[in-house]
Amino acid sequence: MRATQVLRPKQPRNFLATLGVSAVLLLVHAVASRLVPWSPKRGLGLAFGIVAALAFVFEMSYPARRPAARPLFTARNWIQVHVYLGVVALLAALIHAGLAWPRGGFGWWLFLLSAWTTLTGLLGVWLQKWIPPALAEGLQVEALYERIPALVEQLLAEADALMAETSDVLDRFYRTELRGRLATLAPSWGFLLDVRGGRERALEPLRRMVGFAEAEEKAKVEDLMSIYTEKMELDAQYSLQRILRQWLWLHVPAAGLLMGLLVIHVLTWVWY
Amino acid sequence: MARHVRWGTPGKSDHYPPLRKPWAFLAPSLLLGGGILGLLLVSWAVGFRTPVSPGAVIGPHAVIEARCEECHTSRRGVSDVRCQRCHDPSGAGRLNNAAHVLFGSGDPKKAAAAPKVDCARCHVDHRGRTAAITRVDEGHCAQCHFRSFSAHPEFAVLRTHATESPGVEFPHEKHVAELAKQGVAGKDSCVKCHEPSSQSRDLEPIAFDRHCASCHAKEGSVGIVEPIPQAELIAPDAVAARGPVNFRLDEFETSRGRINKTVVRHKDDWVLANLRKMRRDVDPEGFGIERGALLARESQLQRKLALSAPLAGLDLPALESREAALDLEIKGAEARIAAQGGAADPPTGLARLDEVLSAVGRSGDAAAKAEGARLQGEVDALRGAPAVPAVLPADDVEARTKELLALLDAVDGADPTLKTRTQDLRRRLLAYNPGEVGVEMLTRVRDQRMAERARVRDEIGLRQAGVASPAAALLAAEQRAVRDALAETRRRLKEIGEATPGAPVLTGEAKAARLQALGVLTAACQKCHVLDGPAMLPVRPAHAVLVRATFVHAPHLLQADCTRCHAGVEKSKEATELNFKGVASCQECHRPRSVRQDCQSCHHYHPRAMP
Repeated sequence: MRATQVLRPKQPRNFLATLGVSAVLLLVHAVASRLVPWSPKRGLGLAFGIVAALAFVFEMSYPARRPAARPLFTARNWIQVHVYLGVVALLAALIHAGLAWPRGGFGWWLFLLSAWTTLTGLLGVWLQKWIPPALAEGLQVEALYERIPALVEQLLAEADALMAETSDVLDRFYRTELRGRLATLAPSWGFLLDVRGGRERALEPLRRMVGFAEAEEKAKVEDLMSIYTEKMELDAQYSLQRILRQWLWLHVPAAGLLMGLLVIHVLTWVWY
Repeated sequence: MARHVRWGTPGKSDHYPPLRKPWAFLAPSLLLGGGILGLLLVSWAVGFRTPVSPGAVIGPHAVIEARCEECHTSRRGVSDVRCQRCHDPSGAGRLNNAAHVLFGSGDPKKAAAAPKVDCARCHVDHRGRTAAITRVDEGHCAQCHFRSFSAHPEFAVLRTHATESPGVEFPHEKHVAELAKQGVAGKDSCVKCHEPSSQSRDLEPIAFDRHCASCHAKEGSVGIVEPIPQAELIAPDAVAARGPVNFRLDEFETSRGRINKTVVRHKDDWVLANLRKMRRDVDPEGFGIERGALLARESQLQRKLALSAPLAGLDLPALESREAALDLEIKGAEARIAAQGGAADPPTGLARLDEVLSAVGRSGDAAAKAEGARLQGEVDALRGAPAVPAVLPADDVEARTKELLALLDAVDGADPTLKTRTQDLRRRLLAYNPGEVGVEMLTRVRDQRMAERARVRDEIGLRQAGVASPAAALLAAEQRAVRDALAETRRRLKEIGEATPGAPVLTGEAKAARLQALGVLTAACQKCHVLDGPAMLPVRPAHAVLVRATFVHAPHLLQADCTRCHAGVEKSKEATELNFKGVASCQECHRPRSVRQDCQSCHHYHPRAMP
């Protein structure tokens, strides 16, 4: 899958609408700040702050899309609104602050958390668009994330059975070089860029072994290569599916922290 | 048989893998956020508030950074009265927008109608220790004024041709020509008198001894006094007996009842003493007016000084006592407003008169009836008379003000026990604004007192909450300014002396003779000074023409010659001529992408210190 395909929005209409809204917000800020000194505490500055806060609160309700997707009807609508509204919320927060760098520790925390949450959200969008096609196009094996460890055990058992009655040379090679790799999952970030990455190099010893093996054992070595290939595909599946799931740890806790600080921010504004 | 990798899921699972719970991530995240929220709230409650501060306050505010209530009030943001605790501790209200409008327009009605602008609207803190919170966004100025320096109106002094007489006659032309004869020309001829100051970035004021004496007082004398009848003057020894003087008794010659002076010094004490005496004799009314105005100013300054005691410096009982006093003043003002409400309407007044006349008619008293008939005639005449203009011309107001001040001075002299009352009346008279009806003035007074009471109440609240007084109130400089102004006023009062009770008013020939003697006495002075009737105009040595802006010559003199702005000064014949092209000459350099042209380069929003 090419990068341009990943960057192409699934719903161009929503993307263009977000661009338009962002442009309007920036224009409003540009005009208003020329007419009146911009202040986050009053007028449009305050309005932008309220919009951003409400949008962030709405973003936090994303898990509520299940089991019923009301009021947005479908899960797809939810994710679209979640993504694009998040971007608009960050922009509104930045405009609320007058498009200026924060000046205090609390302001920096709000700024960094808002930016981090939004950027990790966009990273999630990229991962969701990049990984599934990469898995589908680059691998033969499909596996549910939760089942991968069991499948690896099955492969190991199959390999052990295959190597039960072989020559000492092949058996030693299997025990010392291969069995350990088959026994444990070997997740790698490298699969993110190439799901078949490292495969040729890993299979090279087995190919050399084919040259050494006796004629009746060549078929076993080729089967072993097939098992090892399947194991590497499971490694890729496991790595990428784990990224797809664990990515949320970057996004959601930061969003929760942001909510806590947002409450403090609003309380101090009301109180002081 | 060779093994082949299968497409799809290899084999089936024994069970459906469980789906992730919808709140799997959200619940711990909200827990994290809630934990942080709780932690911050606890830290706030125990007084550790830096974590929730939006940023560090400026250096001078650092000592109160952890005590939010020093500036903030609950649910109302930053309160002006909290700023005023240190910055305007006397409660003069000189830092608010009304003071700014009054400073700019001189119109108390406009000032009273000016919208409230919170201090924190322009001076935003929490931007770091070194932030310049006195530098204000230009946009704030543009809310009421023009947006660009290119639209700056002409300076008021040029627009209205309101150049004040400097009190001396000074033709630049003659002096520049004289310097040219000595080989001094161009910029050098200007700085010969207009010397750059070593203390400030502007020019030193002109001083007779330094700039004029070398030519105008050779050997210390500016001229002589021709013989004058001695009877009309204070004798030299009598003047010398009052204190140190700058003349010698051997400078006088007397012959056949006349006295003359062979040496007249600048500010000669004998000449000045006699000038004041003659002025008192010839123009007692003018003297009374001048003295009344000085007394009024003295009274006004005394009140300012009394009020300049910072509230923060008072203890709780004193604050409560001040609150009670203010309560009374507000009630009094409201009662007077209510009373004026009924009396200000002419038809209501006439209706009341009708009621009185009707009651008199029913009484059966012949004398009362006759008086009633007379009053009826006057009422009818009033009804038919053209409407009296609501606002007197400014000159009339000024004349009547002066009359009243003189009258109050006379009342003071006649009965010293009435001094407190006359002082109060003087203050009220000076506070009166032409065109402002009594109700408006009373409303303004009431509003001022209410604002003052709000400050007192806030201070009491803070004191009860355990907030200590500010360590230092920024008032010392202003108190000093008031004291200096008071001392100057008292010096002038002492200088002009007091009216002689029962002195005959001079008329006809006696007055003419006295005026003639006055002319002879001041002949040497009149070479430069201007005599206005029997009084000499006060000298105003090169005071700032721009009263609402600051201009310093030093940086400008580095860029251009004097005549670039003051073109034609070498041909100027009158001291009142400004010889200045106006704002256009500023705009030659102060323009976009050139020299800065922001408002704060020249203007200051807040009026300078009192008085």
